[in-house]
Amino acid sequence: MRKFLLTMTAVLCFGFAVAQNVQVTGIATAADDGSPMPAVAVAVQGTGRGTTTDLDGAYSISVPSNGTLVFSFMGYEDAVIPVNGRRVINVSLNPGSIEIDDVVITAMGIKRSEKALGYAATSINGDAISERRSSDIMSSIAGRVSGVQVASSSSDPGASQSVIIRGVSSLSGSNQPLYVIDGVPMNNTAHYSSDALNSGYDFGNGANAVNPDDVENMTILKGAAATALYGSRAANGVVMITTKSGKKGQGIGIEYNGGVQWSTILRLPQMQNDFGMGWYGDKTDDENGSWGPRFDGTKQIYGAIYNNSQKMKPYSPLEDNIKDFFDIGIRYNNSLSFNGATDKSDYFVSFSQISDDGMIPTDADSYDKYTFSVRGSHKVDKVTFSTALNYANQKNSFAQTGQGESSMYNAIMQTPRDISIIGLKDLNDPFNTPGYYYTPYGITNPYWVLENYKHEYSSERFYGKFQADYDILKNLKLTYRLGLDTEVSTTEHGAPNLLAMFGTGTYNGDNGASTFDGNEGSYSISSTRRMEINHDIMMTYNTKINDFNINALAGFNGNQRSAKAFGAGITKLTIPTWYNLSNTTSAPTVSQSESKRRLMGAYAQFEGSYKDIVFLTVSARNDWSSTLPKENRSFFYPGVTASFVFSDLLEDQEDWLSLGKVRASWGKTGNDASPYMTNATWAQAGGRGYWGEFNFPYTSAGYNAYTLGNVLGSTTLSPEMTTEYELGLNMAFFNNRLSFDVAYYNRNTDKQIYSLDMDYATGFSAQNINLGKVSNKGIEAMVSVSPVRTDDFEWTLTANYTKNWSKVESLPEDLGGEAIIYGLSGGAGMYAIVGEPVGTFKAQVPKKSPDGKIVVNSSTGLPVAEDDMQIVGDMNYDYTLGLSTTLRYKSVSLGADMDIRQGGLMYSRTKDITFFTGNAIQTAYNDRNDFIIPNSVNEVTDAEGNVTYVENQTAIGLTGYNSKIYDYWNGGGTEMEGGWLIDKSYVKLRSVVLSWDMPKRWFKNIFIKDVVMSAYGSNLFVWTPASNTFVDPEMSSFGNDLEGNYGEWSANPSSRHFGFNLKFKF
Amino acid sequence: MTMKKYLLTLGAAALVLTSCDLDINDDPNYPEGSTITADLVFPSVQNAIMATSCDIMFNYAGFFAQYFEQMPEANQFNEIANYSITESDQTIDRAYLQLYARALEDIEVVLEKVTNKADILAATAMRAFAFQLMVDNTSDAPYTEALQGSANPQPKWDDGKTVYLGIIDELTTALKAYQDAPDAMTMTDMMFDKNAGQWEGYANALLLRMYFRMYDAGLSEYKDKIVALVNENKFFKGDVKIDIFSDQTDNRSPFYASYYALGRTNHCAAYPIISYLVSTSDPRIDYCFSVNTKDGDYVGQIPGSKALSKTWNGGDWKNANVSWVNYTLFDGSGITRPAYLYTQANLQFLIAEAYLRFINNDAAAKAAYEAAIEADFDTKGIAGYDAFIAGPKVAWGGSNDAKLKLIYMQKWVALCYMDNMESWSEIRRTDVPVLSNKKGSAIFADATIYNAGELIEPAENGLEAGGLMKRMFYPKKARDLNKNTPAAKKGSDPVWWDIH
Repeated sequence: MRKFLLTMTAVLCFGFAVAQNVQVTGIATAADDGSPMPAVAVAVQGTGRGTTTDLDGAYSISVPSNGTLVFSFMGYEDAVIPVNGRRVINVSLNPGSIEIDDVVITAMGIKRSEKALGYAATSINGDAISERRSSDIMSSIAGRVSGVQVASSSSDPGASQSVIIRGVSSLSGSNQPLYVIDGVPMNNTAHYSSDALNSGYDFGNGANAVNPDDVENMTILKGAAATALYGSRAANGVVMITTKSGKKGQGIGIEYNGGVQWSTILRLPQMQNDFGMGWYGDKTDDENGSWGPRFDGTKQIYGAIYNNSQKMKPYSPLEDNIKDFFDIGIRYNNSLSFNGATDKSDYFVSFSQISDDGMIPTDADSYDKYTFSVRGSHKVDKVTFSTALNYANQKNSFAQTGQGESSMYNAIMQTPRDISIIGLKDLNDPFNTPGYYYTPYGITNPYWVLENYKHEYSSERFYGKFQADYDILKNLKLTYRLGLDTEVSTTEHGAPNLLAMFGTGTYNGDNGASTFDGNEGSYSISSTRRMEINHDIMMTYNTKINDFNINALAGFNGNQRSAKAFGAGITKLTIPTWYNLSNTTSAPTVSQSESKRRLMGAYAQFEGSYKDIVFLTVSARNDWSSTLPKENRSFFYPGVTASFVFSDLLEDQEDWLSLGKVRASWGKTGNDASPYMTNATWAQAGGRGYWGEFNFPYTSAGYNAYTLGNVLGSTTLSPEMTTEYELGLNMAFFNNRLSFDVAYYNRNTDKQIYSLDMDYATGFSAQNINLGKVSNKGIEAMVSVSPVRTDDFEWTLTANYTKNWSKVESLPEDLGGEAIIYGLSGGAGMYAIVGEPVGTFKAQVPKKSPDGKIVVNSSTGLPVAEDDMQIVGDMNYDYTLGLSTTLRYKSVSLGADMDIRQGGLMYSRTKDITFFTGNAIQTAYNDRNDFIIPNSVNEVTDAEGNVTYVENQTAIGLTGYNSKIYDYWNGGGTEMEGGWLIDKSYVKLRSVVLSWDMPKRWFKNIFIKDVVMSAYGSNLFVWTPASNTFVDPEMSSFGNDLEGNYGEWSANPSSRHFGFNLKFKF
Repeated sequence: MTMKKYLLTLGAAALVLTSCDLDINDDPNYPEGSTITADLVFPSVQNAIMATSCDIMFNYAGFFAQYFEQMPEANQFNEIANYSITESDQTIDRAYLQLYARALEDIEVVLEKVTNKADILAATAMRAFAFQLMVDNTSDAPYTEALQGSANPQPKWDDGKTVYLGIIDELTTALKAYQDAPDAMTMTDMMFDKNAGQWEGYANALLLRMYFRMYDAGLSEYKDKIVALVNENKFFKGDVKIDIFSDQTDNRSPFYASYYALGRTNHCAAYPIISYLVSTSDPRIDYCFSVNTKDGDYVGQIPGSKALSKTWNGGDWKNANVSWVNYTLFDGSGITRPAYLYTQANLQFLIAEAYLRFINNDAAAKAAYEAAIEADFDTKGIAGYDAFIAGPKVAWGGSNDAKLKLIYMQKWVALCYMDNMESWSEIRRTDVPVLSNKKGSAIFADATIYNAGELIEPAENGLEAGGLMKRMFYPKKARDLNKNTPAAKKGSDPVWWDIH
């Protein structure tokens, strides 16, 4: 009582000295559903004083009559309300969109005031994720968070998302962030083809298993200092997901979300409409290209002969031929959740379903996903038990990409401009079967391909946690968490036995080309079981000593990841299109593999703050990894961060300055190797010819053999180390109407663990070593402004900007300072080259005279290539810019996001193949009349070896002996093969969402609490530079990591989506 | 239960689920090194060498020996057919991988593990053959510093003579050790089924053909060594082959696995071999080539003329115009056809050459010449040897020069589709068949100006110096990763022994 009186006296004295204090009371409610909000922080601006609302949302606080109250709650926008002498202030809090929230969940699930952070962390409200209605959690934030590059590698349903935070740092390891769901790391393995050239597919990555409607909050931790506690797997950043839990007082607690979405083609190459089927300028009956004569509208006979008949077509272009091939894709999704809570326990149960059949005809591109989650907690005395159990079941079908006969899009790109693709739909028409298809040259009917080839993936996933929190003392808590993530997946690939079906007795089988030889079908099935177990034991302590706040934690982490896979495959299918292991006369080949790794870590963190103005955090972790040699197994990395909220020191700042904070951090993260990189291996022997393989066992001759593995293990591997520092400033003005957050970071990843290619003469093809250093420096900025903010109408604009400078700092001398990341045999390659950005492209380019003219061969008239491949650019964007806007009038809101990416190159096989076939619009250049390459010269070398240049007089033509126009375009035109690397800049209208929160008074007396209707579109438009008439540059064929930046290899085209959604709350 | 007990129980349960042992980095997908014996490794050596000489090299050497041409409507081997390949085509890189990182590295393992003289001889013979293949392609090869792993990541390239002398020395040493104390072979052996005598004969035959190349290089002392070997006459019987193939995945015969699987549309017959086979009424033509589908004739394509034949022909030039390479020989499919590493015919032709040039024994030369052709007929399963050998254009006779040319020409025929790599080497050593002085276009227009069997410069020839392919380029892999790789050479630069 005495203490109370003293406090009261102090408060009163203080109050009298400044202004008259008033006791303000009121209720805080949620603007979205009108429910009372407990635990809302109510602070008196400019002071350290505050309180929180009770379970009914009520509060009471003493405040100067001319003061200002700030109401804040995680996931909601702050409400800043001047008191103006009022005694009752009821406040309605708006759910936040993407905005820096006051409370941020940091590593290990620790909630911190945003002010306390000395590093960049972006927190995204679950509603902002789910309103985009994407089937995964990441694609909805593409272009919306600075420093985070999100791309869908394919628009096929269920394909993987690439998330790269602050540039590529690891040349051989993963560059994807660690996903942590409710404190448990998640297996994010991506399932895509390792042979994208011949059979590309992408069945998505592990994080796709999360149901977006289950997400309460997502926080992205970017820098090393922010992620250090998560250990080596967090070297590329962390995506922390907190799922929804049961809440009290929100009606019955049932929520339903359901919608339908359509997808249509977004981007196709621009094709020429002047020339049709043929080659070298002549009409042919069977070519897969448009190098024929100019269209003249006459009737033409073409293709195979069946039953003494042949097909006829008008010799005219079909301008929308390809567009007409694609359907409208349709997706249904439903999700339902129940939740509730008492004082001691809460629960949340959800079920979701997505069924998506993309825009490719047939269901060869489809995705079905079901998720089921149960979460709950129960408090017994001082212990809170909580659990989260998630089950996800998915099934994908993928329409194969790549250059083979089994690639639908490859066939379409090679279709002459006058052959109707939709005319190929009837598979009962013999002319539409491979046996009588109009061309035998490596492609066949796309409809037939879709019907008869199989690429299927299915998985069952279970992940979750068990957690116990024990409040030993008021300030001391012990947490134990067991996380488990298991998955059983099955992958199937089937190709029909074309030889058996069409090898004899058909036109293409009997005549000419023997297209079907060796094409006897195959089927393979493999099953992989993955399991990850994670333990965390953690002690946390917090206390307040005068103006000092102290939080400390220490913990231990144990993690084991294992996988086992079995596969079997057959060739020579007896029943040509039945995919079953028994369906063959030859023995199946079988394979198995397994891997296991363990990591132990101990970590500690100390946080101290003074008066909520100065914050300091020191953290450290030591890991012990099974994948490193014993001597180098243990590695330590520290981090330190500081922030200073200078605005709190300024007087009268509330008028214009709402927040001013500078921050700085420095941290390290170590990264271990992949399993089994340290020792020599003895593999079952095999040989490789030009194309064929010769592998033991030779079953009929009875031989088996083993060979010393070609990759030299290293007993001296040490961990990869990333060191990063970061400086940041965030400021907010005019009651947060205008705010910005800028950061500069500098990240160096040294001692990269790499399987480095070796000259085969050493006896090995590669050695595992630590090499080289990569740096990424960058600027991230986010600006948010609300030009209009009234009770009824609000308009906000947000921009985020990222610029990253990537650089390979060093590579071993022996390598000549470069290492290849991915390249075509003899073609363009993506390299790490010292002094250049990661992912620098080298390609064949034409020789040029000193004054920059193209050197052409005087006898052919075609460009002459430089002796060696040259650098033509790199994969990195110059900058990315995201623009978002939200307009809200009463309960109707309209939001839109624009994603702008400038610069960078990617390989486009779509360009390559449409140049080869003469379909691309560029190939109609000069009406295909003879021409001399503009500005070209011939190189003349005299007897003394002096080189001079003379104007080129040699023209190239389409027909006759000098049929070089085809060679010219097929060779990449004046850029030669370097021309296959296209500018990947784009501007995309990522999303538009219109939603209407129906007035609650309409159903005041029924059990419905809230109804929200929304209409949305995503990937609605894409704009590319004029030079890219070929692809949506977001498409990639080489997976979702570094190699994915190589480009596309006849990737299926991208799609736009639009849909309707209904949300009910009961 | 108290809270403490709860937690203890939980902790215990947790430990059951994960062990703390970090010594788990031995790859469970592979057998332990201690279980690997030489016996398990040696077949891997033979397999890798087979994939090289009977598959990768078999193809391009088939073009260079002017057996094969690129089918008119296909593009797979354009650069090989018109000699416009370069280092960046990586044509030899696959062979380089098979030879060094598979065969030679595994031989190192075998030689570390065995002490038996027959086993050492077999491993050394394979090693000599692997290096010989490399030198015959690129002239220089990493040898003295090769195969040292990370201890020497950039081994120097030795000149071909050093390598030849080195492997000849290794092989003669191993031979002598075996002959001094013959052991029975113990290692699993896919070539001779552990017949050490055959290995001795194979080693001698390898030496014989290397000696011929040394002699061609101007090292006249090798004449005596050739004579000694032929007089000793301890050579292998039958063909040196690997005969293990069956219609199972990755168990199929090389040419079938690599080229048939790409579609039968890539190889057609070249003009020189067809003209010669037709002119000598050789029944072996059907072993390798089919009549064209257009007219039912044997028609070879002028080398490097795929893009031009249409113009020359004044109209179409399609697959139907030319003779196809017969992919389905031997067993009706080619799937189980053995891979030939050294044919008896090849050996007998060398013996015939030795008798004719160095021993002056015409009867023995004739006998060897006829034995060579008969062995080839037998291996190919073609009837009609007696009638063929009596034919005026092939019967033994004429001047010594004419006889020598007969040996070379018939060797060219016998090696066709059997050992193309060896054929290309022997063409370079012997300069037979000779290169026609007529252009392909002229021969196409008027076949009478051409002597059947002469090689023809490709109509589109990527070699600046003109003429024929004399060597293969250095591997791109070595260029990229080993700064000791010599400066790039041209395809028209001969290998070290090809100076006469």
